[in-house]
Amino acid sequence: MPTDLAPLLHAVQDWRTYVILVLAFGFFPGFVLRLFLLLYPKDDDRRSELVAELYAVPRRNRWWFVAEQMETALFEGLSERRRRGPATSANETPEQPDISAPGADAGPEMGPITSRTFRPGTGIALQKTLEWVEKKIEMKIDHAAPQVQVPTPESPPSHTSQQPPGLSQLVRSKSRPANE
Amino acid sequence: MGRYRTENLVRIAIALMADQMGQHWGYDIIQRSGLRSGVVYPNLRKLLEEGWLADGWEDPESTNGRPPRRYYSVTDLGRRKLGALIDEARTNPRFAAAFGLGAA
Repeated sequence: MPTDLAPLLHAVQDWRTYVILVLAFGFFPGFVLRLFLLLYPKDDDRRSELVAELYAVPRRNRWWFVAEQMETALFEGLSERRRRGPATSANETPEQPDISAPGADAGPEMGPITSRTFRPGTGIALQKTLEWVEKKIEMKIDHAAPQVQVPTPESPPSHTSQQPPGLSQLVRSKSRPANE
Repeated sequence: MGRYRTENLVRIAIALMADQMGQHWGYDIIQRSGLRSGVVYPNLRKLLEEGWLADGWEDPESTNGRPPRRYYSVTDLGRRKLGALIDEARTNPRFAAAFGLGAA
């Protein structure tokens, strides 16, 4: 017999192991079951279902029911977790500030955006945020358009009558050399 | 669901179709089908996703302090499909053991 297995077998035969098992499965089955159920995704109905089922199982069979749930949680819970993907779903969009609200600010405390402002990999998020802000500005211009007076040929063209360039265009134009 | 026609599914189908209109609990299905919960619950999930079963929760006021249980009921589609599955399995010697143990 390999020497590595000997302590393991000895531990299984030890009376303290049985005491722990009896305590865990016999007296705290709900606690042990809830530990197993952590393998399921957080919002999975199976978590509540199996806890409720435990109290419908006759007391003498509960330890066996709990032991069985380890298999269920390992196979079903983990596969469900893998199927659903990471905890933060791709469909969830971060809450955006409502800059269209009167008096709202885009965040002056942010400071100037430099290459050190964002961690690597946040380029896409920045791009998406810029697109979102552009869209909001366009929507605001569309709403305000009927109220804007059309400039007469005599008067100089108003700044508000022209559609301002998008933020990304502004960023691009700033980066261009002055002689362009 | 065609590729999942296993003896386990036939046993669960028999347990469910024993009371087609009633409400079924996970532990009761385990008892009546004679299967392990590690087999029954994943199958119940598949049946729910296929629309063969519908689920719901007990009214918390009628549970006397214990947590409300989740119940399963067979849908019209499920009655047709599970009935067909049982009929098909009845003629298949591969599933003879399921009928010997779980028939209502």
